[in-house]
Amino acid sequence: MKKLVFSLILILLFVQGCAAKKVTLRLATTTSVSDSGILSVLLDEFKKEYPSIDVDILAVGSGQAFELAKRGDADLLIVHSPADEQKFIEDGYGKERIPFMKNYFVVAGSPDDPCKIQGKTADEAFKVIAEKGCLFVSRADASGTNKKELSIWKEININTDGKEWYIKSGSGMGASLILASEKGAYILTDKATFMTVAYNKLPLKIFVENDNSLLNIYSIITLNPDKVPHVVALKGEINDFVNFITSSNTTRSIIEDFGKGKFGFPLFELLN
Amino acid sequence: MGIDIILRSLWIAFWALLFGSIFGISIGIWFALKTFKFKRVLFLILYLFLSLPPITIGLFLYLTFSRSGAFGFLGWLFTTKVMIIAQAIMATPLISIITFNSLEHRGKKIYETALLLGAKPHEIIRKILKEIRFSLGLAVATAFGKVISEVGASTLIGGDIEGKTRVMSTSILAETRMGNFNFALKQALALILISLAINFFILIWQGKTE
Repeated sequence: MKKLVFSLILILLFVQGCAAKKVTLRLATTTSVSDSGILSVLLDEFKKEYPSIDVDILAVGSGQAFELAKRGDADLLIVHSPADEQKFIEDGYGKERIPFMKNYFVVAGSPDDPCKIQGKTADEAFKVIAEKGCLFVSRADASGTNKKELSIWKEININTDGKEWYIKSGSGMGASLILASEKGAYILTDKATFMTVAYNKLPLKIFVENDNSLLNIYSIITLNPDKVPHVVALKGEINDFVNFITSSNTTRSIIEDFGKGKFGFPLFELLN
Repeated sequence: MGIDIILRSLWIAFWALLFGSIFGISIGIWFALKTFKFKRVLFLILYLFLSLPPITIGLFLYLTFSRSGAFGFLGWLFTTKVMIIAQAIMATPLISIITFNSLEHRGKKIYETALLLGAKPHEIIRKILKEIRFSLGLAVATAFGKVISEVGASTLIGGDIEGKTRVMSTSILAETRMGNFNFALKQALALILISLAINFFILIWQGKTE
């Protein structure tokens, strides 16, 4: 009996200790946005302006981000996978898609450039990598970066299935960069994550960049209450956050400046 | 730097081991003292859970506590609560099996002797616990090692949210991902030291109660 009462008290304490106080928004986003660190800077400013709203970041691949939202486990998305975003909206889950910043994908690899792709376009570089059978690390996690990579292979009609040089990491951008550097492999990455994770830290170098086909657009996506009904209760908070990200001067100046001090150029750009 | 993460890890592990011990020890004693139908089947299930990869527990809990799952209405997904549940599920079979094994042969004897001496139920339980304290120490230490280092399930159902559900194991992963090997190494070192300290205390406690 004593034991029972004791455990009941403990359970009560446990439940009470975890009671929620603030309104919490769950933002599912891609590892490339969170790993670069820009999101924490944006959130710090957001919290200053809206102290009653807590934003939890769930850093996953775009593929998982969409699934989380469909199941009702996220309230908002920041992703960079335009085709999937379109489908997400067509399927009725997404309501609004507002692009708000961009950067570029780059192809990086071991500094000695074993396949000599320096200065080529992305399509050419991928072709050479496949022809010579140079190691290549694919995220293989249905993330925006992975989708971009797959679309390039498709465009140049190369089937990577079961190829020995094609390494599927199945993990986030940072972890995949580490894998590529260890293997001396090439990899497609967004420039922001590359600069944050690899620049001056890993033996990797950028060989293909400033290719317009490698444009990488980040959008914020709100959910359709018809399919994901719980967002109705969070409507005001979601609006505040979307407005902050898409049209506040604070966000504009953060995006324009982020990374400048450390790398000499900003890691992201405004869209307009 | 990172202190909140360490405290959160210990907080979660503490509750998980507490619940895991309450359930695990109860199941272990019950199995050792009683004979009943389907005991073998229950045993099999217990062993199954013992060898279950934590990520499968994580996946199951994710689907259960997802807003479109059975317990979604609680809003526990991506909180420390569901992480405690996951870790308790990992700890329980381990503790119950070790409890059972240490009681398998002498449990009934202790029980009957105590009964003959006219001991009350709670005295019997205390006597049993005292007899097997070495095994219990081992069980809790092993379970602690298992839950504190678990990454997969913790990331899946905790979400690795900074300031809320980021724990030592998931922070090592997250910081490595961002190239902060220094921070990751410090966390790893802290993890080792804490494990060492806890095992040390368990050893001392076993000695004292001798």
